[in-house]
Amino acid sequence: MTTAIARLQEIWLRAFFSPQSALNLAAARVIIAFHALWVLLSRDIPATSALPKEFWANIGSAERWRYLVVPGHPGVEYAVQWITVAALVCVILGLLPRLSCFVSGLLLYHLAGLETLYWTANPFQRGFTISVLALLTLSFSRCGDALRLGAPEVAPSPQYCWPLRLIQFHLANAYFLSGISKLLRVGISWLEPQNLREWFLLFSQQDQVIREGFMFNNLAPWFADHYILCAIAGFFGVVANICFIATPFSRSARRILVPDAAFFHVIVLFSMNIFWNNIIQLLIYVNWSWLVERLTGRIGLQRKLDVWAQRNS
Amino acid sequence: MNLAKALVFLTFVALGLAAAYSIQRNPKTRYVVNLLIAYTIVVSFAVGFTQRENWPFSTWPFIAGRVARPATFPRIVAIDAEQNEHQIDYRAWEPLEFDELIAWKEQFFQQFDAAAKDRIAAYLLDHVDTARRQWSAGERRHYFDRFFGPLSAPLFLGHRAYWDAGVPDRAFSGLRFYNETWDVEERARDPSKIARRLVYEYRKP
Repeated sequence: MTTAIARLQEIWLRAFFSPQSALNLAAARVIIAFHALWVLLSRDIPATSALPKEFWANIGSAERWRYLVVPGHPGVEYAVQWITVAALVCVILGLLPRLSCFVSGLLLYHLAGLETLYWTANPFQRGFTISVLALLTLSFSRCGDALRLGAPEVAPSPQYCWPLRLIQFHLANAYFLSGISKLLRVGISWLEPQNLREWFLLFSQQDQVIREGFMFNNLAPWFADHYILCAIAGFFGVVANICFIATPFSRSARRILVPDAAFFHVIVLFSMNIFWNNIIQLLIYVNWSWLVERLTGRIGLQRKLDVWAQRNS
Repeated sequence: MNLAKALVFLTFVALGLAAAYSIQRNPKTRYVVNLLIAYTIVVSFAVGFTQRENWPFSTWPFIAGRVARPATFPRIVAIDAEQNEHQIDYRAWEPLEFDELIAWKEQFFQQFDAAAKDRIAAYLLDHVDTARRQWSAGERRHYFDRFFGPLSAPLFLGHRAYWDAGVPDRAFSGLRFYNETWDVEERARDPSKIARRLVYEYRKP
């Protein structure tokens, strides 16, 4: 029993408190903020506040309080949006990074609620679900120790590990629970090729969800006509998604499942016309510290070779 | 229930702040950080395995269902003074998001009395006809792509850009709400196998 507990503690420590580079956490900060800014400025969420009163008629006060939404004040909402934009820019630039992360995380919680509250209090899949959790997690950590002006050079530390793992966990959860949801709501029969065939057919037949462009709208009927492709799609939809929960904790899982997920999103985009804007956030799994060392190492080597070539010319 | 959900989120924030404070005082302390990590994992999994949404802790039910056979989908079309029907480009609804609007309509519209329905339809008609007029005059208002242009974040679902081929030149004078029903296998064999039912019509007085 004691050995088992000791083993669990060891696994926990390795997962969340291994020495980690400050650069990887700071890169996550920039990626998450850039993505949130991109989505926020690609919508007009405050305009929702100006909808006629009938749109808000079925929304209870508890739901409004949950997101602090008071309909009918678009001017205030635009002010909130621009404060959020300013905070996100500060997050990217590393200006008061922890405070900026905290402010933008809380304000995005409100704005995400406002976007859909008139019909649902659950604004998932719009782009801010992971951003809110990630920005707040960043605000609790030393996320500004790199990628900002005047940042001191710091040694790898467990202080940079747990927040990065938690953010990676939030993103991994989207895949993991997507697989689990299919099993809980439908059962193992979700994986049946016939189920996937019907989904592909539906997305190719519903002209209101078709994207314009030559690359769209051909893949779905082709998939639907191939039993084996439908079977592979079913496998991806459940098994590969469930396995994704390993990515925060396993380098091997990251190397296989992160490119695999990117490929999955491209296929889903071209077959079902579904664009999951969080695909950009997959960059938080990149080991930026290793990449920078590798690149600067190569550049250093190239310089040495140039000097050697000059001396011998 | 909604306030309880808010409490779950607020507890996450409070634990995070406590973790940040404890690290500030003693960088080697891990008790509160461990608590924050454990809380995050437990809540995330509890939400997922019970399938009880608690945003921002989500269940992520991405196409987690079976296709209904037959399946029914709503469509809103505009009509002009001669009763010709026109498809409405999804961008004409901006700054409203087409999917959110349709979802709201499906969930709540039928609950309103006739007068309220007409008020809502009048608002929507004015909205899309104003967009039509602006597009026709070459003055389309850009809401979603005003900052990043073609690099703006696309909507989750794709939508057909009906008006790229040409903006309707006649003023809209009404709206029709249809329900379209088909079976995916039948329609795969014969694309014309689709039933259309008018569920509501509004004409400008």
